[in-house]
This record gives sequence, C-alpha cells and structure tokens, in this order.
Amino acid sequence: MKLSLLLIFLLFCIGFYGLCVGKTVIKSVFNLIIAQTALLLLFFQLAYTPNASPPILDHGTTGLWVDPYPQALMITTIVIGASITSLALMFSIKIYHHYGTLTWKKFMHKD
Amino acid sequence: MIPIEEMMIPIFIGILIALAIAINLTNNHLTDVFLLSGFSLLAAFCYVLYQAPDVSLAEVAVGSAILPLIVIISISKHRSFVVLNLLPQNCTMELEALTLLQEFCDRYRLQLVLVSDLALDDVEFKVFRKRNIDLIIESHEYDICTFTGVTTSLMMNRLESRIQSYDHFEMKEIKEGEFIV
Repeated sequence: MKLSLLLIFLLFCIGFYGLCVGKTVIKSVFNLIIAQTALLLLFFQLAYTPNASPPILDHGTTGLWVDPYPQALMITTIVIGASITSLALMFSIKIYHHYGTLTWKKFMHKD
Repeated sequence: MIPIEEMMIPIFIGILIALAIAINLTNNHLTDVFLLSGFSLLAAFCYVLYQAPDVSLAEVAVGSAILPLIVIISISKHRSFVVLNLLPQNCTMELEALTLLQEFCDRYRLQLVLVSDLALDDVEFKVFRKRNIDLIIESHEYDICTFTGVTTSLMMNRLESRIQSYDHFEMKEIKEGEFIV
C-alpha cells in the first residue's frame, strides 16, 4: 500500500520533471500524459480495498465491492485527457508553422 | 494473507516508471509513440488489478489506439522541407540529388524549399533571415554527397531508407540542438 503510493508519487514526479525540462513540445505533451496516468493510479490506490470484487452486480459472493465513484470520475478524466492532448498537438502544429521548429530553446529565443 | 493482485501492483508500477524514464531519454519521436502506446497498455493492466475493468477498456481504446494515431498524424503534418544546397554548381551529382529529393517530397506531399549559398544576399532571404533548415546537402570528397539532418525528424528515417540504395550518397545524422558550422 505505502510502497504503491510512493511509486505513484515517483511516476508523477517523472512526468512533471519531463514536462518542465523536455526538449521538444511533443515530448512535453507525452510527459503530460504520464503525469495524468499517475493521477489516475493515485485515485485507484486510494479507493482500493483488499479482497474486493469489481463493482458489478452479481459478480462475487463476498458482497465486498470497490468504490465505483472514483472509477466513474476517472473515465471522465481519460476522455478529457485525450482531448487536451489533441488540442496541445494542434498548438504544436501551429508553433511549427510559425517558428519552423519544435525545440523549446530555439523558439523561445526568437521574436 | 496478502492477495496476489496487491503484490503485483508495485511491480507493474515499477515497469511504468521504467517506461516513463525511457520516453524521456530517447531522441526519436517515432520510438516515443510506440513506448507511449506500451505505457498505456500496461497502465490498463494496472487498472484491472485495481478492480476497475471499465476504466481499463476505455484506456485501451483511447490511450493505446487513438492517441498514437493522433500523434503520428500531427507529427507528419509538419509540411515544408527546407534544404540548404552547398553542392558545387552544374555537377551531375547535384541534378541526381535534387531529383531524388523532389521525388521524396512529392511522395510525402511536402513542399520542397531550396536554399543555396548564393541566395544569402537575396531579398527574400533577408526577410526570412533565421530560416530553420531541415537538411543540408554538401560534398566534402570527390564523388560522395552527404545528406545531413536531425535525428528527431520522422522524415529523416524515411529519407535514410530511401538513400541506402544509392552508393554515392551517404546520410549523416546530428542531434537536435547541435550546430555544424
């Protein structure tokens, strides 16, 4: 439990670090996806109960289910993350046509 | 007793961390796309271990099928292809190289923009002074023509596989951010 939380935090840190120092725009977008996945895993980890079955009716006989509310939220997050990614990639095409490059260092120093 | 799912979760998150580091270390965008697809697939398996099969289905559909498609389309949308021509004029090699490049650009629907060394004084070049150059063709030795390009571009991989059938052309790759001159 605590080990999983620590690893999820590490994954989020990798994503955030790559978002800040990534070389190109596309690499930053990829790291945004990584950070988003870490967020999803964190929600599942917090809602996880051992020996529970998936929240489907008449699946298990134990009567112990995982909380379905965070899962419903996380499906929304996946869809919104996909649309955010496609929006960012569209901006990257605009940046390429305006500056001729996708490297952060190159077009940050231009006018 | 700890259930086996709970023991497998930290292992799979460890593999996810390794893939995330690999995405940050590579220099090729195409490799990044494949690594990201595998990352999403493993994340979907983690969601199954967390007893969330519906989210896992959504993640497989969106994360490992639709997103790589969008990324590949948007990478190949970067259209114009600027070539700096440093070959000596009126040699037979120049004609051959330019024909090859024109064929290449027609095939992938790029717009070939040729910039030669003499055009540095040109009016048009003064307007667009800081032009980003995708490819440089030059010849240091007799009979060998060198194509120099950046490794992060998708076009370079395609061009390299095209060039390999010619024996007097060679491909030279540099990393993004390096300077030649």
